Amino acid sequence: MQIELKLFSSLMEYLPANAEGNTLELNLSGTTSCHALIDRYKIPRDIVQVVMVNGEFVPPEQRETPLTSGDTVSIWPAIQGG
Amino acid sequence: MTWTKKVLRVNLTEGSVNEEPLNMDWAAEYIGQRGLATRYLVAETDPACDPLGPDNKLIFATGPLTGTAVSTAARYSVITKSPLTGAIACSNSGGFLGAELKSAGWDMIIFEGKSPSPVMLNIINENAELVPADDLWGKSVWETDRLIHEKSGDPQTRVAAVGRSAEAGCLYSAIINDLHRAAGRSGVGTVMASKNLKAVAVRGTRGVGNIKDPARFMKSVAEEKQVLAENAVTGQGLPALGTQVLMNVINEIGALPTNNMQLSQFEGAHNISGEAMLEPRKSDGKPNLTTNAACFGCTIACGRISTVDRTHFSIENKPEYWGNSGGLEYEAAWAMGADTGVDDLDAVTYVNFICNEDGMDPISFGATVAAAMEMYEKGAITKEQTDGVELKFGSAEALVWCVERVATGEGFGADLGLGSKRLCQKYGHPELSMTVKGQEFPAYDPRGIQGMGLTYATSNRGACHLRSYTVASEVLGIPEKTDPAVTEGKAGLVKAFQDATAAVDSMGLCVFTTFAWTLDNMAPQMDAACEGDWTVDRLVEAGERIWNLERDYNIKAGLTGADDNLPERLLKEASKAAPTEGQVCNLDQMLPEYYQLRGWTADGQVTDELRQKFSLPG
Repeated sequence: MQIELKLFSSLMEYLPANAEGNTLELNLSGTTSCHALIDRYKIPRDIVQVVMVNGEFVPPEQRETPLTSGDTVSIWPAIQGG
Repeated sequence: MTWTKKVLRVNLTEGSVNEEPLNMDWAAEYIGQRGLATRYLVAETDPACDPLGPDNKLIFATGPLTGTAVSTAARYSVITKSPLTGAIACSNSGGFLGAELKSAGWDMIIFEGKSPSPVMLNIINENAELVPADDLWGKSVWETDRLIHEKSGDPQTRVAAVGRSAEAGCLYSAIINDLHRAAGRSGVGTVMASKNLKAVAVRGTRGVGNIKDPARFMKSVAEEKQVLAENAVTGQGLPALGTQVLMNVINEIGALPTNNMQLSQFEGAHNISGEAMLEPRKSDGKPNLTTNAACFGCTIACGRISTVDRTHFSIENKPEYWGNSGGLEYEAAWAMGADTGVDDLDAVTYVNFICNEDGMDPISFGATVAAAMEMYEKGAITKEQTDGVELKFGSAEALVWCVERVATGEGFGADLGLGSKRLCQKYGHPELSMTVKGQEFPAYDPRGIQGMGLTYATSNRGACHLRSYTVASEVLGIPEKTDPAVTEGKAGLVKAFQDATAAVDSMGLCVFTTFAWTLDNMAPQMDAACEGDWTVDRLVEAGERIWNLERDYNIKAGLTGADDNLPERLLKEASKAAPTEGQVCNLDQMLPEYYQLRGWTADGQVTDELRQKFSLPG
């Protein structure tokens, strides 16, 4: 399945060398989930604050839900602003 | 204590400067800074007065914690009647001037009247004098700052000044202190210039040592600084990317207003984001961001210090802009970037420098340019007005052209200085002004974040994100996640944020502490420092009292419940961005409940019962 993974802010350091900017285009076999992607790139789960799939917030208890091919997953550490 | 209990009253008409005691009965009810200065303004001025006439007053006010060891206790506010909105104006700034004023021994400066010729106020501890400033009139903020330091010979003199935009009558001019910190919104700088007051220079060496219980205070301060340091937002997130981390977040959820709020997502968002500020540029291998920076006493240090690429068209022949300066912050980057469709980071950084140099609110400036661009594309504004410049969305050249004209008020710059509401009226398209009460929106589309719609509509100073930052809850999950698409529960959320923020703004602290602190963390510090028993309940009560006082001022100034509204675009034109597609802002589902929670009448009036409860003036 095709997944676009975007890591932001300090999480960009977890991107592999083949990333373009802050984005990875993934072609995966089988199913995957937000947590599986977080673990795949060795991002400590406790520093992840905001996870979005196609711009919609995914609460921690729903991060095991299987993703659909074509989804964009965006992940941030603790952030704030204003 | 920590209030110095001294007010400096400056009558600009007479040229007199006098000391008077602070009204401590009012301080007990309104804390300081935002709340207390509003109480003074209400007592001393007619809310119906001309904002730019001599009857309006201009108050610089610190909070009781300003200048103390509490983290972020740098703040001061400027309170007056706004020429942009006709409502109460209260603009809060950091940097070092507020703490310096407190250290010189003053809680507050009240400017009244109008000087017959340009003057500045010079304060060195208890000595304050008005001095002629004819030589400074016509100079930018940065040049004024340089000349004042040259005269004082003391690098620690802190300067707040207005630039040429304010002198030219731009209605959203700011007061800039410490070169790039701003009391930015609602045209407080325009009021200052209308009084022929060019600058305030302060040097204070007395310190702020009158703490009620020093041992308890220092223990509490140390504990709470630890909380900020250990919090992922205030300890790591804000120092690293500053507020600019939000650009990509808000764009991803489909709530980044774009092209004068016609769209809710911006293709070029990444190019002007916090992440982009870290990317090395091609010309010299350096990133836009040089370092982060802190205001007085702040242990968060969210500020940005940046450079523009020297080969960029905006500055290639202007070496005076090749050095480091303040910015970009998120709201400014959005207004001058996404809202104008410009994704050129160097152009937006340069334009932000000019906003600091000549004292304009970058939010109102950017949003006004965006409205002008839409009217240009509709043919209502033509090249005749723009000296041949193509004022199209996405044009960095046009954006740069605009800022240089608003800075001095020349040509079409005078029109742009009117702000979005008056500009759109002048060119026959009032429906294209994205404002509430005449003040331009900040960087969150209320079609995608419902609570921000109610926040904007009910903000006492016109559209503003800082009066109740529900983005924290609706987008980022602090203190708990709420759904940005629903209206249920938002009235209570907005009221709670508004009241708490009014208290924070009145103590002398930065609202960014609230990403880690609640009033439970602030009350012990306030109580150890200040006379009287300061509990969370008392702070919340004071916050609600302040909110009602501001509301009452606005009603007396002629505003009504009908002004608690949003432009039709946000209520009827649905978002086209995928994550928020089809959504409008359902303000009508939130506003009646909000009035009810406030205890106001169905048309938004403060009741006599509330006046009595909060001892509001009649």
